[in-house]
Amino acid sequence: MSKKNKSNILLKILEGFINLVIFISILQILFEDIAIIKGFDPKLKIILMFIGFGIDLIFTIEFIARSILSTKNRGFIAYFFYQYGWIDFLCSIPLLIMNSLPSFILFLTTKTLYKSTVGFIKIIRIIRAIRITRILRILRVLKILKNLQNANSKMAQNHLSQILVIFIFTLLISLIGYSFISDFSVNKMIEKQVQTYQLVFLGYNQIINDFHVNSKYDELHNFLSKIKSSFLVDPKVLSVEMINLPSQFKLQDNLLYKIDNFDHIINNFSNYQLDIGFFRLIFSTQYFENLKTSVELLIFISIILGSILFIFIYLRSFVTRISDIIYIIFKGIKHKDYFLMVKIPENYKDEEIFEFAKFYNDIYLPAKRKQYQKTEQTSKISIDDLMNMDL
Amino acid sequence: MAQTNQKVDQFLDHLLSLPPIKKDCPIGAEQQIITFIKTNLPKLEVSFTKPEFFPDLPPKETIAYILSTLQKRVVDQSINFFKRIITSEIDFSILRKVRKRPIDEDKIKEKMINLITEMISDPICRSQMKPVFYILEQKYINKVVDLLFERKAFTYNELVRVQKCYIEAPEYVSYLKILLLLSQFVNYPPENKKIFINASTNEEKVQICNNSAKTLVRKIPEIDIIECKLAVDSNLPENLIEIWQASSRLLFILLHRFNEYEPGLKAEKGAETPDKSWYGVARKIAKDFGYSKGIVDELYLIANEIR
Repeated sequence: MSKKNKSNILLKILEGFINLVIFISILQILFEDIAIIKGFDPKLKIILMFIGFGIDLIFTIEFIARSILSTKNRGFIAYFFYQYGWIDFLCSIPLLIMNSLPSFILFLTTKTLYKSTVGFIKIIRIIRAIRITRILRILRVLKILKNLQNANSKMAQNHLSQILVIFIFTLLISLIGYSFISDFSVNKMIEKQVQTYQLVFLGYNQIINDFHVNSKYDELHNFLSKIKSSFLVDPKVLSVEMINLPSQFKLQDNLLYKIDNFDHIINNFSNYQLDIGFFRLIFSTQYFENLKTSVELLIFISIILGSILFIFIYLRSFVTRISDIIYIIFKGIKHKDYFLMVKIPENYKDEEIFEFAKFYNDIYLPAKRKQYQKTEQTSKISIDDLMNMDL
Repeated sequence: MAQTNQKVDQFLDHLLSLPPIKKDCPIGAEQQIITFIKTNLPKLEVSFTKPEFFPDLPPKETIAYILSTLQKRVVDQSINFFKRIITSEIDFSILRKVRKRPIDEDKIKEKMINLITEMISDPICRSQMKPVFYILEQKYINKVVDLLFERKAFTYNELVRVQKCYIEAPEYVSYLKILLLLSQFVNYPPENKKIFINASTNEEKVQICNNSAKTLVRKIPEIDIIECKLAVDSNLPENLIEIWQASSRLLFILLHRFNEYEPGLKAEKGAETPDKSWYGVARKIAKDFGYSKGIVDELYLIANEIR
């Protein structure tokens, strides 16, 4: 096997591998979001985090390799701006540096997972949105569709890629914009909830302080019994514990309230701890987290479905109404013995391109046929066909 | 020698199984191989001396040997094909019905087979039989006649009423096949001082056809001179036909169509089928090429239904 053949096979294997990673990356994003909503086991979340890190690392290596190779061919600028290098970049280095690498390092050092809610800086929320840019990589996978309805036409592929980029970016910008609107942010919603609890519990604190000042230590028990039932009103409250109580108050158990499946929820879902005077509240932020993740998931699924629809409906329309016609006419002009006519659909015959095709069919081809003299000087067999002949 | 024979057979097997010519008829494949050898002669002469080819024979002798083996193969295959057509796909009784006179069908068959064998054995005439081979192999006449008779439009009217040949579609198929088989007699050198493909003027072409018709009727007297004339006139454009019959005009178009026929050529996405495209162009240049406009227009309309 020649060196060229070997490198071609290697290139095909690599391309196949990258395409596979692209598909896995889309699934990884889907599962990561579903894991948040459904509260998957932390072990699964760790696996997904590792996969995410691996994917970002592979894409980063691929981007660097392509950049190096591009300097040998048409140049980095051509690769970056005209061959979707910018998409390769967006889907690799920023995600690795700002998302998966910190998560990976945090896990290695503290054995805990990043919890993407409270305390996060705004940029991290945007990173989660940008993470979806990985889907832009499906434009590379378009090559796989080359056997589908003449999708091997470069014009059709470029045209469709451009439309998909616009479509995906419109949704991404909407998603990033949504992340920026503070009223929709998880932090803002949690802040509002915290404010509500703070007001209520500050009142409770005042009452307990009064008990302390007036030495009515026995009344605490009755008071706490009365307010216990109010915790049940909000299912987001996971537990309420008394802390820093003056020693004169004698409580058998500092834990006032604890939801039934407390451990499961604490381990698998997002939560937030809030200390207000004598009270320590742990409440679930999963409700807000789910809202935000659902919007992201919805946009992600819209991008996938929209892209598939574009590929199957728009590409088909583009191919049958533009690129196929150009392809046939080009072949007719280029090859002297090519005489196939362009098929003109009755419904679209008034479109300019079919008017052009009609001219090609009715004027150009007959004129070419009149000029054409068939010669038997060329054979369909070539001397190369005798290679590897075993007599 | 036995080893050389075997190697030549293997060499030809290899060439004939190559994808570009695999679907060609034997005559078409032979033409391709001859062209290939002609265009690559110097390289082949060098290659043939290599140990894996034919080191024991001088290259020129090797080539001559290859060509004669190829010719034998092609002639055998073609004769078998045409024999099968004559014996099993043509109803010669139609000639009796058309000319209203007794004929000996077996005698005609025998004479037709002998004549076709002679024609196929001649390399020039054989090469001109390529479109005939394809038309018969594809059962193209069967399909076209069925469709034309179903439509009962221009061509049907010409074939049946104008030509006064009141026969049914299956009979017309046989009738046209007989004419088609005899059509290339004009290119059979032993019987023609000058063959049709070498004629340079229209007068020469008409003269050759007239002479061929007369010779043909002498060779197979059981076939009427009218059929002989219709057969050879299938090579003439519309404006040169003396007996202005639709059979010849239809066969003239079909022979031209299959002269450019590429077996295995599929319709491309966005393009009309090869048949539709050919008739589509032909109707635009009908006047220049001598195609009957009415017939070619109708063939264009039914092109997609033919296959």
